[in-house]
Amino acid sequence: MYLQIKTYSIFLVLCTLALNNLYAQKENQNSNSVEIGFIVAGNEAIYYGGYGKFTMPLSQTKHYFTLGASLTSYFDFKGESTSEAYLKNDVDMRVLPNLVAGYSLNFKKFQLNLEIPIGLSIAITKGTLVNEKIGFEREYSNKESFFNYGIALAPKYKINEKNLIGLYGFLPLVSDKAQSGYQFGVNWTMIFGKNN
Amino acid sequence: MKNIYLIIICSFFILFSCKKEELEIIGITEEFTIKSMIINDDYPIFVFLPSNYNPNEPNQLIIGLDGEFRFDDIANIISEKSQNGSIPPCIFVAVGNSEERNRDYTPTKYEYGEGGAENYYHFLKNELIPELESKYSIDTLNTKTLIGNSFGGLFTNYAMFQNRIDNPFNKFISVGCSFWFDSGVIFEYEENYSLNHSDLNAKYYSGMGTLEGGINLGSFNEMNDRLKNRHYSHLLMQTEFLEKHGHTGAATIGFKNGLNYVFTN
Repeated sequence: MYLQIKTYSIFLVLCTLALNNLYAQKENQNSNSVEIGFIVAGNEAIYYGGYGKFTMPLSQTKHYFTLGASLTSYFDFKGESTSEAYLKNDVDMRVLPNLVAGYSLNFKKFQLNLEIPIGLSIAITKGTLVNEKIGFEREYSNKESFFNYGIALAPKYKINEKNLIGLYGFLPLVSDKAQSGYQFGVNWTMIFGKNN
Repeated sequence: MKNIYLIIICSFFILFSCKKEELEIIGITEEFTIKSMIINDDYPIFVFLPSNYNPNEPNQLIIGLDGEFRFDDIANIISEKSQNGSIPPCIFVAVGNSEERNRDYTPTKYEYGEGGAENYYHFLKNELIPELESKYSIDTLNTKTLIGNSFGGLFTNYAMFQNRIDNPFNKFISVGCSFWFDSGVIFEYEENYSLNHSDLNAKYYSGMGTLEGGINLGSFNEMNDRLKNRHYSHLLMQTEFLEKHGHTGAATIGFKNGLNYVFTN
């Protein structure tokens, strides 16, 4: 079947709606927030980096839809270097500017965020390969941009009314995960303009 | 309003969760196990006889590495090519026991590898190929094709740099070769080959995903230039960066481009 719906996507949507109807507290409404996080990312190689995100609520009545903008960047600091073949002035990174559509559920001490980032993944690789064992130096360079989308999940703990800490996970839905890899990390969210 | 939100969310997932329908393999598939006395290990052998396989004529033998992972991909490509007439009558054989790839595909003993490529090459040449030639109708000349990705690509390059006169292969398809292995030791095999041979009578395709790291990107260009600068009169080669692909994603498109190239007159 050409149009094959991934069952886990449907499962996540249904779970979110069920959680909302059963447990989410209406009196805890969403507010504007700024979030920063540190992540480990990648698929074929391990990258380290961080992200920043601004989020505002679209609705504060029954449903808790949000819209935001995020900038994520992560780096591979080592590659497959050895003592005899290594990289000089090496840059291997991804930059991901994304719009983020989300659904945020508030509980007494916890907040659960289901998000769909949509945007770009920009891959930048350049530097010089120095191979002392064989005896050559070689420059390399590559820059490409890709459409990026996926599903992000961020459960958070409310330290107080203005601050939350939590975990962050991103599952890319692009077919080649080298374009945009999995992301796992921790985050800190600062709320401002609290409405209730 | 609630339903509208639900429809929007479901539409998004339906739109972006589509997957291309996989091609059907048209032909006969078989499987058997061969015991290697050289390596003292068993190898599952996955065989695909495409629609243009002719039991009454010598067929081209195409051998793929990492059989458990790559058989379906390559068989799909060959099935399609055999139906549209872009490949001569052939038989595709994928060699399994991929869990021992670090032992079998690596030319030297090094971190992540046990240096078993020499034994593995002799296993292919002296045990597997004679067995296949006894079971199927195969061209017995040194015209076989070898396909490998990653460590399989490393072994493919290693096999190309073996003594030419009794090398069963003359077509090599390497994708995402692990040039980084042992600090680029494959360059030493290339150098040694050039010191002992004045020609390389082969067709060589090498592809590399542009999202591979710097070691592989730089080494790929270096190897291509070195081979070109040898000026082997009978070496035909095509090399290309496979854009927007990483190490894993480049494999299938590289196999396809490689088969297109080595079987083009």
